[in-house]
Amino acid sequence: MKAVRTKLRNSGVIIVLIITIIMNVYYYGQVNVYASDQEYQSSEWESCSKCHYVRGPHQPLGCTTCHKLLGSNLTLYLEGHPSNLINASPLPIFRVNISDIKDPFELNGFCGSCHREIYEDYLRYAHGNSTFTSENEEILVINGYKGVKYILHIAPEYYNLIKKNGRACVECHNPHDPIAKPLSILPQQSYRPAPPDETNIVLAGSLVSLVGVMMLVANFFWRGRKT
Amino acid sequence: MSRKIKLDRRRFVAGMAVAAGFTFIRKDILMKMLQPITLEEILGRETPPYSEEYLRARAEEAERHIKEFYRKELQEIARTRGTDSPEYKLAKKIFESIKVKYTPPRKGARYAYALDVNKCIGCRRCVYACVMENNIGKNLQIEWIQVLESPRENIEIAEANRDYVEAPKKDMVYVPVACMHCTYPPCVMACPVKATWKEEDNIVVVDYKRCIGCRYCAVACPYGARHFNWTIPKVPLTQLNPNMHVIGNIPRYPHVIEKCTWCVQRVRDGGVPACVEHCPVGARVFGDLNDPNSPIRLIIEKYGAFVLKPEAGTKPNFFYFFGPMRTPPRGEEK
Repeated sequence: MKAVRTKLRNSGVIIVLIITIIMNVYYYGQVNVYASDQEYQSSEWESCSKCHYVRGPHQPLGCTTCHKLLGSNLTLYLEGHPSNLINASPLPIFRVNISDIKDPFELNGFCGSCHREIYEDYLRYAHGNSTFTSENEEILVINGYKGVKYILHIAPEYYNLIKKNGRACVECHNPHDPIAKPLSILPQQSYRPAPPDETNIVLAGSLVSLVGVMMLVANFFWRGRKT
Repeated sequence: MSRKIKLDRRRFVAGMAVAAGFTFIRKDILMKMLQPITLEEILGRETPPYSEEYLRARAEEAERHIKEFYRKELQEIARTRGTDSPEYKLAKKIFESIKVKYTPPRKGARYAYALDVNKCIGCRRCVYACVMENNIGKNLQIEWIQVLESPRENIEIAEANRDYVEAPKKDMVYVPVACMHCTYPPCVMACPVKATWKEEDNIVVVDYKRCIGCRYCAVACPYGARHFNWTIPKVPLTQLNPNMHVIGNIPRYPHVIEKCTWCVQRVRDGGVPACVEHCPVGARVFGDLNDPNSPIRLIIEKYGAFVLKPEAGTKPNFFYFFGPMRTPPRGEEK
């Protein structure tokens, strides 16, 4: 009986093992085909965020911007265990002396190579700082409303204005400390007086009304006593 | 019971003298007082939306009036400060470039606006830029954009704080509200003299000369976007924006309604409104809905949008959206 039991136990273990192997192979080897890169990116973030802490400055990045996948064909991606990911392509080494660069807009492409979505927004004037120019334009900075400086465009002809990006990436965001708040874009403090405190007015009003009511009541009693 | 007036010689002569005086001597003053209307004026009077020719005439007239008005101020600056002072130079530069335009709406354009509630820090730079750009009277405390502050957990517009002093604060959301340029604008329906109307490119404008100041539109607007000039709006020449549009930002008369025009003087020439240009965090997006490459299309496709007070049935063209999460997210800031 013992032998039969051990045989059964062994066979049970073997069956369970086989089932797990089959399931593993089935799930691990499952290949999903995505129609576009964008569709993949949206699913990729969901699958990676199950295990990894995908927050903070890494959130706008796609995982594939730094990690390489096992599929060489761009339209075929392997979904499954993250062991398929190989940390094969570290960030490109970008050696440049900042003082040599006169136009900070030259660096925009480098930023955009990783921050694709934000760079797309930026190029289509949806990330802010879009401004306009016209021919022979003169820009005057004047003291405006409530002491806040205002950029006044003075041009001989205002027709056919041209939109352009006002600021480069590194002018607002610190590339050496991306988590830091972009302090450079925060405006100067302006004079904005607090509205008048209405609690005192309410208190005085209620006091006056109370005194009035008391006078009325006193008057009524006084009259009553007289008659 | 008719009483006969004795017409003696003295009375007759006095009456004749008075009549002669009214007919011959005081005629010019009388004409000025009564302001007779000519046939040309009656025939030339148009109802909005105006034709381009009429608008051109109006723009030329407005430019002449504005230059006449500000020439005196320029002379006074020259007298008090001297012609070598930087103030006079700035004032002269602005005075020489005063231009009142009458640009018609671009064909096929349908403008819309979007604002990222996640990005807005409530600094009120848009408000100040708007006041400067649109020549709003500096003595009136009128601001076309109102920034509402409400807690992030429970965004309630009715209980929002409009008079906050410090910003930005943690766990607070800032919702700037201005004219929504609705598809079915109730202000246009309420106007009894047709002084406000919707242009082809989605912009709701006001004709300041036609407005009678009844303020029905201000009552009808569910967003509080219309403001009334209670006194003569004063704009000093050194703070004047010389780029003007005849139904946009020309200096207003007293007792007329004014509102946001999406900077019609900039937008119709291809630019962006002043608030979009001056927003330090880039929370504001403006574009043409019919143009597939415009930023507004990108935003609505990517992030979706919502509107304020949809139950009012006005179908606003000003959208709010929650853009990509801030980095670092709120609550984890240094």
